[in-house]
Amino acid sequence: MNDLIIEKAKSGDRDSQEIIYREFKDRIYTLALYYTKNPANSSDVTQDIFIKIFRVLNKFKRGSFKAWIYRVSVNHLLNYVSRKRTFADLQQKNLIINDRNIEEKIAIERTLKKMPEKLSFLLILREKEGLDYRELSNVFGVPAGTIKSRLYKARRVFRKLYGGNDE
Amino acid sequence: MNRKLKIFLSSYLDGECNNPEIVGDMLKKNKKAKEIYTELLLSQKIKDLEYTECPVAFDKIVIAIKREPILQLLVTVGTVAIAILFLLPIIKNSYQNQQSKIKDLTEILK
Repeated sequence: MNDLIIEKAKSGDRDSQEIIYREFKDRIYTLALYYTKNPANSSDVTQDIFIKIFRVLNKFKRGSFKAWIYRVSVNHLLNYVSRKRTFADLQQKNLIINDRNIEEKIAIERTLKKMPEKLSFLLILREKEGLDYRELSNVFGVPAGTIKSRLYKARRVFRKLYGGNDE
Repeated sequence: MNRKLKIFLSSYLDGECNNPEIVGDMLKKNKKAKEIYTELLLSQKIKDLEYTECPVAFDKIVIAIKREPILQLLVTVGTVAIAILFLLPIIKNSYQNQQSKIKDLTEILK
């Protein structure tokens, strides 16, 4: 993300804010879909996250903007989950799925939903969003060494739950 | 295989390992290590998931951002009003008590 756009967005420029919104909206909405009951809740959560992002944008100084965005989003989602404790219906097909490998994709979604939230967030941000250890360390507020061991744990849990054997 | 080595394999998978040659060698020679590594690779399936298009329009967010200070002001005004409503009888009562005490004291002094 261009520094100029971030600076302009900080000063309240709507066009720059919209660029940031367009860049991250689908990613955050998809992330929210895993942990909210339905698409309507995900829309509300996504809206709340972006209001928060634009409200506290001035607090972003330097470093990975992507990691900062995900830190705000993950914190918000973890709060939401701890308040609601309403997981999405496992039968619900939240994501747009290609006809090919449809069952496998549903199985992946189910596995992610079954996992402890912090571990699944970590795995999604690493595997899907490609955040490196330093960025993940910023998102979760823990040292990179902890990220390393948690990722191993997340992969182990993912493997066990994907295979149908609960931990 | 101990946990430390397994974590090592996981970080190798992420490209965050300090000694990739050692792990590479281990994967060639150690059958168990290769098996664990293959199992860890399973999480890469997450990459195949696709994003869902967010139906929320940016304008909706702009409106919500504009409304926020007004809502906060309303909440503050409401809170102050409720506080005054509760405190007013107490203040009024204490004022009346004070007045009656002054009156009594004036009479005594006479």
